[in-house]
Amino acid sequence: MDNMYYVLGMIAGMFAAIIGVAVKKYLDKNRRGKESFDERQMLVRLKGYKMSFFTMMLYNMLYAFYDLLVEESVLSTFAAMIMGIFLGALVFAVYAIWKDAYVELHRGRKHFLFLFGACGLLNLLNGIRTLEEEIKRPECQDMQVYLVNFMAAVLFGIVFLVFALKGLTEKKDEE
Amino acid sequence: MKNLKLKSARAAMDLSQQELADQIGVSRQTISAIEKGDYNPTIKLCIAICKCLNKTLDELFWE
Repeated sequence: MDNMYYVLGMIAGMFAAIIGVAVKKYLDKNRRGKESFDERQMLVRLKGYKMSFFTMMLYNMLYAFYDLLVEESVLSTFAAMIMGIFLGALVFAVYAIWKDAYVELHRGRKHFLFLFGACGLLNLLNGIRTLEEEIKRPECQDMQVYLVNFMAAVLFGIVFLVFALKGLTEKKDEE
Repeated sequence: MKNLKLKSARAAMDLSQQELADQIGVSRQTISAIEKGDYNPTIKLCIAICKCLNKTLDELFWE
């Protein structure tokens, strides 16, 4: 029953995110015609999408074999599937950031640094809180939701570090 | 292969990579990649660069 609430909450969150993105795209319609990314950045992003896709394919294939071979998995199916999605997103983000194709033209990178840092920290704190709750309530443990929060924290943390590192190398590269 | 002609044409106009990029509507890193020879621009971008620097395609991009 409690798992159902977690799932419903996540579905609601996903819908809210989709609606939020759709509203943002609609409000940004004045920017149509103005390129958000230049041609080089678009090529890099397309390559990033491809790398992300094949990373997820490979991960899913490996997990399928792991699931066949191992009777009692360390990870729940839920956590394992989410990990695959995070891995794909991480591959894209790191590649695009390193090749200077993540941030749109005429947008600063500082607010991304703040955003990713904040998301990582919030997920870490929520992961700790969820872990404490799941320890108290063993019936909720099968989904390992706390792991999802920790994975998200790691994802945002890595992206934050890559952004910060890239910012340092950019300063050397600029004339 | 590095594009030194582009770099010198940009320097002759006293433009930084960022300023040239802003005028053309691309990122600074794209201009840097073109000058380093890490990226081959499309003809559309080549023409835009030439117009901005008052040069011909041959002068900037012909080997």
